[in-house]
Amino acid sequence: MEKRLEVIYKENSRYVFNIALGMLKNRDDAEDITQNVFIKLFDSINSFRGDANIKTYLYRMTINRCIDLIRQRKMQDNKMDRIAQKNSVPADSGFILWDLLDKLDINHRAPLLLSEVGGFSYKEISKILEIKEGTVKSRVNRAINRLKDLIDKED
Amino acid sequence: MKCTDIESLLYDYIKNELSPARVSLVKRHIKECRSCERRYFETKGLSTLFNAESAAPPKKILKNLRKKYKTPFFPARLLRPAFTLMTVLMLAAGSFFAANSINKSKELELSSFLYDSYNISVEYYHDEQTNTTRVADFFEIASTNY
Ligand SMILES: [Zn+2]
Repeated sequence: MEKRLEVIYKENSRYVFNIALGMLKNRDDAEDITQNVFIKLFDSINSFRGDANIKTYLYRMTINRCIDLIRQRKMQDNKMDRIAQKNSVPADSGFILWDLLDKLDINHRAPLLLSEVGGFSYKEISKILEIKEGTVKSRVNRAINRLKDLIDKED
Repeated sequence: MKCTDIESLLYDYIKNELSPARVSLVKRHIKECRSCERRYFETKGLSTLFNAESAAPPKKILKNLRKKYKTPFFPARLLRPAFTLMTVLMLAAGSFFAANSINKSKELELSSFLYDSYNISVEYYHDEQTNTTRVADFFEIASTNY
């Protein structure tokens, strides 16, 4: 693999994978999405100018694919859902946060994960999700407050 | 500013998304207010949780990508001068043949001469063959006349 691609993968794969994991709560799905978004990116890598555009594209694709999959899963029947949950992050593994993320609306989960896992600024998140910066700010804050409430309830 | 106002700014404060004026406001309040300070550490702790619970992606992915995007044995960067060198060599070879074009036309003359003489001999052979038949026919006619 070209050095440029290696660098892109090393700098982003952990974030992409964990954002997908936080969105989907399923390792197999997160793995598939991670591999597929990098393939999609690498196939069109020469059409990008600048690393900022590459990142925007990569994370937008990650979030969109996760949302697509969540919608797809919702449409499938309950039986299929139960099979998919077999590979979920186990609830009793100490991964409290990942479990609580499930209780957040996807529209709030996505900006929160981009902020917390990806470390993106509100401005960058607004670019990735194609929503206003003010919307990012209010959604992330609502997500954080809801998480805090949920953690308080757990204790 | 009330505590609820400060609380609503805490995450933005942690994320460095506040104006300098507001930053100093929050900073001052946290120093003086115990409950807001506690909330500040709680919010910050959430970020730590996110990092603590993040997992490394399976190594399989990188392996698959490396297989799919294998770098060629001769990368394009090295191939380009090689192609240039080849072009130069081919041009040199071309001009060498052009310089020897006199020999080439002589070669052509020789080969066309050989071809023609072969054709002539074949024709001659056929003629001979038909002649022999004619001779045989003659004998056949002669023998029947016997
Ligand atoms: Zn206070």
